[in-house]
Amino acid sequence: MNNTTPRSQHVHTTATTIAQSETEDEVSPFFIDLSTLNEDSLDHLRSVGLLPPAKLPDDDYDDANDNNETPRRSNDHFNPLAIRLLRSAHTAYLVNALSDPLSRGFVSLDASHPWMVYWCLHSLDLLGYFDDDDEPSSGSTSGLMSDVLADVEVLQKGQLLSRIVSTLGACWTEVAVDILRDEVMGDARLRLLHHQQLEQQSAATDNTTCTVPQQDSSYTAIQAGGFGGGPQQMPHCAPTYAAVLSLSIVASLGLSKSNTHPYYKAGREALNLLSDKRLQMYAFFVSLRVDASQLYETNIVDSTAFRMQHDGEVDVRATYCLLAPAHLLGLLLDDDNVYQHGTNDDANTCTNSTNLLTTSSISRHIASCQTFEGGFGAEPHNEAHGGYTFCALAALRILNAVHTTDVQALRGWLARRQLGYEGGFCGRTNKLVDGCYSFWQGGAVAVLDGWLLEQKHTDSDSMETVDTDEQSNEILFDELLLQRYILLCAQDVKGGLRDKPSKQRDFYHSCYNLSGLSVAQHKVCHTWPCRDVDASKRNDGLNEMFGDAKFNVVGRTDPVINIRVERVQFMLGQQFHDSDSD
Amino acid sequence: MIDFQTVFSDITPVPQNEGKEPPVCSIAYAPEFIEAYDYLRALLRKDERSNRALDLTTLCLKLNPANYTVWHYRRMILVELGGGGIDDAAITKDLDFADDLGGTNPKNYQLWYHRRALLEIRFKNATEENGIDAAKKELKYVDRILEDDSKNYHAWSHRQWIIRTMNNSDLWKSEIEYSHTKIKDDPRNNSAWSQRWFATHRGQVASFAGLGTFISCDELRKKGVILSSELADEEAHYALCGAEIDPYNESPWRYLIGVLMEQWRCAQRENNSHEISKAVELITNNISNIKELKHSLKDNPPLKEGAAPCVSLMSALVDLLELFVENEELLKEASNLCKELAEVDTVRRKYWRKRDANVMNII
Ligand SMILES: [Zn+2]
Repeated sequence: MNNTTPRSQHVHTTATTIAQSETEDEVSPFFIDLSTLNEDSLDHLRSVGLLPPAKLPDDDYDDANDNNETPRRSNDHFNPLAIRLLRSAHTAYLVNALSDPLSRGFVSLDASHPWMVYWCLHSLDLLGYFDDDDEPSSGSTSGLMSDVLADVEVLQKGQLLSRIVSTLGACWTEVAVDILRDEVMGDARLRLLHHQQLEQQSAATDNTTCTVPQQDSSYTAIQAGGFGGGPQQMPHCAPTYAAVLSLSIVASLGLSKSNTHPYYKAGREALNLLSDKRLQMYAFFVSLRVDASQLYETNIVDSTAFRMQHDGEVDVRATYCLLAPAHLLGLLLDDDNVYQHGTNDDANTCTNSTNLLTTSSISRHIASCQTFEGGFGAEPHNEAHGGYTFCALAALRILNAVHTTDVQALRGWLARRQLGYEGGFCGRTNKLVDGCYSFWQGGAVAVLDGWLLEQKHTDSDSMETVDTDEQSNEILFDELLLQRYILLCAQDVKGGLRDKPSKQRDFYHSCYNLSGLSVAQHKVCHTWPCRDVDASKRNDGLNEMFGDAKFNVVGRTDPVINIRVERVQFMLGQQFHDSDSD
Repeated sequence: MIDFQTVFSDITPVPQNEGKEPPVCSIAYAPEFIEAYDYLRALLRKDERSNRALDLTTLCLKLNPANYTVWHYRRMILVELGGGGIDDAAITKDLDFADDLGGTNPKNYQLWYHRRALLEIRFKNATEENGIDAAKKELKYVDRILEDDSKNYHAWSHRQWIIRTMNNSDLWKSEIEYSHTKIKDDPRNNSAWSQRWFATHRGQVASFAGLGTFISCDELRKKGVILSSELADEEAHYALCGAEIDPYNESPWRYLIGVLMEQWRCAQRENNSHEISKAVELITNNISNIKELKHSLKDNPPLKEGAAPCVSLMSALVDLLELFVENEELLKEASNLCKELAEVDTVRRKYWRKRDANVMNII
């Protein structure tokens, strides 16, 4: 599979073609046919971990893949030239980033603490760092040194998870917002939150007679909240997204264990935090709405966009960054579900209630960001771009409104973003390959393919002829070429992943290369959220694999939310009780 | 530099509260960073809006220009110091400040948003003439940024915001010229092609899915939401000229398809026979133009390696041919192209097989 594909072509030399040729020159040495290398070079590749050890010990796979229950089958023939994911190097880089202080050069990320946590934690989760760690064998009689070491390791991981919850908790901040009184009264969640806050107030002001403030005002003051980029910073959509996803990972990791397991306490704290704050986040998200028909003077009536923060930019990232956590926290459910879960009498008696985050005006605005090329831009008429396209499509998937866009144009644009020679994706037409688009574009393909597959399944119930090939759950892009780019060009042998070989590794590119690798490795799920795959069986539903197939498998990410499918499944299984007590 | 002990002698610094456990992803801040931000937190807590607070935000933003909380605080201080607004001199000063922080290639959201927030005030307060002058000045600034990085996403988006906000006929026209200059510099600058679309449509959104209630093609053309028939012809011609310069360049091809599909979709949507025959004529003409280019490439291969198949050209042809769902001959042509593309555009072979299957389905 080291055959090289043709390089790009041009007739007219421009700044773009020069940069493109330089990039192709930059990556071409990585595509060398390994069988032509001499033994010294191969030894070097073995020593850094890119190739398997010359003689493979029997338990080698167990090191990498600790949940690997099935022993290596005899027909798994050993390929000494199979490129490997640098699991231990990446793990060390990421664990180190979480646990030890970062150098002062990182101040540029001082307003992105939850992002750093998410990038590292999700990467580690994909690498299986927290998988199948048994409970410490306290009381076990074996007393083997290896068991003791394993116990210490599990305790340390549990400690790390607790620190993550504590750090993210410190990033929580509140902000007072004014929401139209009619909207508060017409929305079961806001009504409940308002009611809770009034009760707290009256409890605090020591049973003064029931005061009903703002009787004459058309606005209701609500104490909303969200996560900021660091302690004592304003709430902002992006860190809120990163924090909620991270806390969901911890909650799922901890609460799927017994309550004596070292992960359990962190998991409980994470879920409590989310559960306590979810309605305030809902209010924060609602307060970020912007009338997009005013903003863009479009011909579209009733179209809703969101700001990233109060007094912050409007773009389609915001819509995604708030819908994804809202989805995980059960904040997008029909109001029937709120009545059921709510214990508040007022909520039950109200007949008219709408969810302010699922109105059709939101998907209408997203659709207006699709360009003539087929991808989406940050705002209407902005150039089609991988990051915004992912956000737009994933948000539409959450809103169940993918059909409101030009799906075929989008599919074509996504397909054209994979570069034939490099194998990775670029962010925009005529731009260079970059490892992070492995997920932004690759993940978008997975979202779209999954949606199309779901449509087919629904259609086929009524239709007679079912083209079996059309039902294929193979991903539409070239998964081998993408894996090759990630494994050969994006890995730093010191650990961590990067944009391209000439760029430095960082947490962001580590996260999105690994997420892209996950999308490239796993078959498309025809339901969303993914239910039909037993995610604990790692080797289920794999695409064609590049390199050392068994060694390289990473966890299966949910392409819409971008945490592992087990984590999403766990969160969606939670019943959040918005009760007044607690 | 601020002499904290003197200037803030009445203030008790507030350290960062990183939670009850040792924090993860913590940063080993420099001592001057800690000092500045400890005082900032103290002032934020009091919500003090003073000159010394403004100076402190200046220092804090120099230490980290990505701190959106500090930018927001700074704007609130500016409004307070300006007695409920920000006067023009202060706006100029702060635009320069943001410019200095950004360096030659600013890519941080906060810097660009700060410019928008300040200019929004300037535009609102200006007379029409002054407003246009202010807009032109800002466009010059953006041009300087694009000189350095001709595809800076924020910069192009900022240009769009300026022009959309002013909504001035001259600015719309000159933006078409501007995009043309940039396309001439580098026909592969896709941002410039995208800007051309924005300018020719005067920023109006033609997403049919979003149009809601029914409006006729004629009405949409009158409003400029879609291109007039003449302009569509011109723009298609412009795109083809671009494609002739380098047929391997995806940008003009997608621009061409965009222009043609817009007319086609509108006609289909209205289902008006006159509109449909106009659109069919437009597309048929362009198909023959593209085929002509295809043949000339075959006869005079522009690349030394011989007649390398031109994927962008073939893709565009497929997009147009498959529109004729009742013409088996054209559909077969489209299908054959898909089969050829599956062979030569190997990275997209699965995609081309799917496209082929779709075309075959119609047949
Ligand atoms: Zn990147």
